[in-house]
Amino acid sequence: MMTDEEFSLKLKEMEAGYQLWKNLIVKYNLSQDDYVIAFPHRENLINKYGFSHLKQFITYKHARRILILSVENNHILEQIYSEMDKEKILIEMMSEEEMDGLVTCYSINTLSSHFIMMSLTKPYGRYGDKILQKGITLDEVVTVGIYQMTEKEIFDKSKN
Amino acid sequence: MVTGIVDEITLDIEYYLQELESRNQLNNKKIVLFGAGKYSHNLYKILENYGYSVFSVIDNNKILSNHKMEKNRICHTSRFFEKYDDNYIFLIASSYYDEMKSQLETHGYIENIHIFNMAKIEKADMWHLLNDTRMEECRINMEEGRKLHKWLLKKYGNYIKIMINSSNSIGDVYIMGFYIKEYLKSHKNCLFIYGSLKTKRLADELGFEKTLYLSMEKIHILLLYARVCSYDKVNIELLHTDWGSQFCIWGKMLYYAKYIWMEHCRELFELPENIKPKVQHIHVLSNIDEIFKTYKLCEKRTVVLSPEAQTLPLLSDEFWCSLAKRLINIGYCVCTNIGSNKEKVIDGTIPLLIKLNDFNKFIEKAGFFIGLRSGLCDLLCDSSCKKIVLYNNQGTYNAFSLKAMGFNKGLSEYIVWEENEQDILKKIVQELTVSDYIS
Repeated sequence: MMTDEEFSLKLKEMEAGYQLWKNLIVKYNLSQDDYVIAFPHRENLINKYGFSHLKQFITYKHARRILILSVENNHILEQIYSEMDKEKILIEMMSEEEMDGLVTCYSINTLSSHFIMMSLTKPYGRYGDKILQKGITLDEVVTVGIYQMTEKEIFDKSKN
Repeated sequence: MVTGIVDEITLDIEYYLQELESRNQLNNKKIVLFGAGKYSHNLYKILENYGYSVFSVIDNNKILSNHKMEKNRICHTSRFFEKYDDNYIFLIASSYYDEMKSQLETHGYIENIHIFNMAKIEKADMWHLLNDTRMEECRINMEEGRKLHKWLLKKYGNYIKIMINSSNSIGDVYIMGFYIKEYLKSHKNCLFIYGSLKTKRLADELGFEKTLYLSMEKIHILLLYARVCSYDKVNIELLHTDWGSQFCIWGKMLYYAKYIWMEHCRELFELPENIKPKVQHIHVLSNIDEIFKTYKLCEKRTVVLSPEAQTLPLLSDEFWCSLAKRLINIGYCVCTNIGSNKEKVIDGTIPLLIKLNDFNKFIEKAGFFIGLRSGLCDLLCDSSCKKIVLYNNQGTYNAFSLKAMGFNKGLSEYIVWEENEQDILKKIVQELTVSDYIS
């Protein structure tokens, strides 16, 4: 059972996540052609696939800019970012606490159709890890399930 | 979720519609709605209220092809644009108006002659789906969820594990029933919550010991509370995939091959792979012989057609009528299974409201079932009758095929497209003509 104190802390976390989200919209002046991708895990293979399909995603969605939200010390991101087009790809680093707030906020309501959570497990109910046990690769989960570059993949696949 | 925005858009649509009317721009035109989203649906209903009928609904999303918006089947743009027609008038209520307009222009259509923006939907809204009003609602729902959770603990004890089934699909509950006895061997203190009385009753029949019905609204509030507070912390589990929610990756890959629902049910119960599903039988409530006598049905020569489904888009009325006619012509008694008196009956067939419990037994006696893939097909999975299960596209087949679940007994499955309807009708009739099932 969750105590009243714990519950009150959760509400505060949700509130903090909401404030952070509102600030991000203003800070980056997000427009209709922008996308926001959150990378909530520090050390996780999904980061690698998330970044490796980023260019493809930008082309697929005709995105103007991508705002990446990442927890601090995301080593894969640090390695890859030097090769990225910095006008097109923006990065906002945040503490784990802040990221948790954002995930909580996302778990209560869709933030935007242009907001993507690069995680198999966050928030609860994604079932991404379970899919992996079914012969579907992480690469497929990232392209189809998360980036939703769906049409080509789905229909090519279904012809087989 | 964004009720305020939708209401404003309704006003917008009515305003632009009246403008078009005042300029007689809709006269003798074929109205085409571009986009099959919620705003477009809103536009559809308003047009109907104003006495206009929609000629076609088109969308760029292939997955929506063959789905229906009210009476119209959604057509993929690539097929629709094969032929230019100056009488088309494209009405758009979408935040992607500019992109849609450009697409139409490449096919020779002109803005303000053929193309009209029916609602100025600012794309900027896309960043404010979570706003102050929605946050306040969530806060209230969180408090409500906590109260509801406390009430459940008070009623069932602090150590109760709450398993929430957020789906109203009888088929899903039935398949879960294959594993329930095994699960309950090691989990004694579970409460199963259902969002409909139908699914709760079925769960009771299948041996889900402690069950409770809650309205879907309450279920969503409880789920919201559990999601934010962490499911483990509050000992709540989601006994489904939540595949309709924005979080669920599984839902987004639903039509992607390789995923088998029955295996997923085993995993939901965290049972090892060596646990095999065990078909459960439910008690028959009615006198089946009596029903056959009343409706003058012939044993093993009756076909039950089941055109309705919750998840899959429906097949055309023409398809079902043509099928019924052909089956009657070759000597079958043909019935339509209706879930309620409000459901449509296929022309020339006998309407039958068969109770869920009686369904399997009834079809066994009838001999034949032909239906669009729905939960009822799960109920028949082990039946020895001849079953023909229909799907609308490869995606739905990949996701829900009974064959993939290992049920092959008396089963044929077909994917019906607009283009192959006639072939499928022929194949079905052929199957039933040469069928050993005809005595």
